[in-house]
Amino acid sequence: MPGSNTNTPPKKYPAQVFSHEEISCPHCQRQLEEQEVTCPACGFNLPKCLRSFPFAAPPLSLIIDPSQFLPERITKDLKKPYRKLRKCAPQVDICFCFVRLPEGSPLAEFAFWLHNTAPEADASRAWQLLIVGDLNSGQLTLTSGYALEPFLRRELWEAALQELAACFSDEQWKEGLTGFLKDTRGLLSAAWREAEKTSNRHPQVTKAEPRPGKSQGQKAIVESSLEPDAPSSMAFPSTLPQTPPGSGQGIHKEKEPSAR
Amino acid sequence: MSRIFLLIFGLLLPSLASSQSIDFPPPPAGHVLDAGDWLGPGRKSRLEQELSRYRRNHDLNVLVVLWNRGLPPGTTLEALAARLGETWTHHGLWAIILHVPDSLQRPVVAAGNRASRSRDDEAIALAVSASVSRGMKERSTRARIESLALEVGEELAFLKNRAAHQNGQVVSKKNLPDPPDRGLRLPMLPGALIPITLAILLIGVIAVIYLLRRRTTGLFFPETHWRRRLGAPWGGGPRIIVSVPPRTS
Repeated sequence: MPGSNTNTPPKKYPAQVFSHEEISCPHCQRQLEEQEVTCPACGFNLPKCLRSFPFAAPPLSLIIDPSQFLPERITKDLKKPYRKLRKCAPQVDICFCFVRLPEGSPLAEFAFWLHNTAPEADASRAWQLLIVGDLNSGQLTLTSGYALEPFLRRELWEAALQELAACFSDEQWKEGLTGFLKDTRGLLSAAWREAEKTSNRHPQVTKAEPRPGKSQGQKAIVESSLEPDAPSSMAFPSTLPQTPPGSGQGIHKEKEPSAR
Repeated sequence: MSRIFLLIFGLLLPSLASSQSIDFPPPPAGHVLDAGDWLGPGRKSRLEQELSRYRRNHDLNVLVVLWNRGLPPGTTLEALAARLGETWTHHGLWAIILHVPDSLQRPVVAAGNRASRSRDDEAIALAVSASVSRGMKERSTRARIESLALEVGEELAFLKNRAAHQNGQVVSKKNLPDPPDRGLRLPMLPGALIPITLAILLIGVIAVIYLLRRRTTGLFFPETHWRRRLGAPWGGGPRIIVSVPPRTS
């Protein structure tokens, strides 16, 4: 990435230069303001979300399929289109995760949790695209990191995701995933061209803050948001534990969590 | 004495018989004898035009004869063609293309040189052989006859020119053949087009290299101030959720 390894931080644009889309809470879908640590409407945030998923998130890779619902050779089939995507947009990485969430467990919160807590995170996580599929509810969701977020136009990516969903409906896993990787390449190329035009028209403003890389600062935020007694040694299950009825949102551990 | 006369008469009888059995028509006014109009008017007029050019430019007698008078027994087409050539031509190189229309016999070509009085000239024989091998490639008999006449005319013209060149003479009154009437000719490219074409090619190559380089280096998005929220370090959560449509069986 240009400027990423130099002492001089790269120049930055306000995100609003490239996107006017609103940001919202994954829990209640209400519109959020930038830099709000907690949703003013429902009080949702990442630490609260961590309680819902009391196990270690797996490292992100191209395919995460703990229940092995995809064919075995799918990773091999996706190698070539994945390589093309990485070559086209080296900043962006992509991950497909397929899980079976228990009834009542919101897919959006799970994706939010996975994206922010998966291990081995560095600045590239902010450029990550994460597609999570819940095999139980039959839903697919697309999550992106902060850095890539301003360049994604919702309606275009929604269409691509719907194409993927249609292929999954027909059990055309390979065609769906390779098609989505190809669409991603096209959408990112178009987004880049648009961003180039916009950035040429717009003067660069403000000096940059040091971006979070493998800085201790960001890691500290993540660590401090963990429950002190969160069972980090628990593996990422293929099927997530059922939420007891009437317990509301999230997933409870088998033993009662100690109060914070 | 009478025995001598009888002997002489007996010796002359075969030739007398053969010459008297072939009823030679008069030579054609032009270059094609086709009493039955077997060739067709178009082909005939083309032949007349071309063969008269050979006569005009190279003093060649090339005649096409469609023979409809029957052949006496023991007489071959080749012999007949040779006799026609010797009878109808009076000077210079000559060639006869002889055919019996609607017969199974192939057209024959005979050629000679009145000046040298020798039909066994090796060069003429080779010329005839070459023209026959080319002319007989045509599909129809009529086309073959036309092609034979033109091919043998060209061969004999070449022969004559070569001989004249070797003798240091002017080849013919008109050296160059008449330009074929093929409509407009394409002009040669002017010299300026070559550098322009090269420049366009060079620009194209540079453009291709630039595009390839851009593709190989990848696209990089500009950095932005992140819209951090909800205490999340890397991303604010999903933006899009879709449902997998029910499978239609």
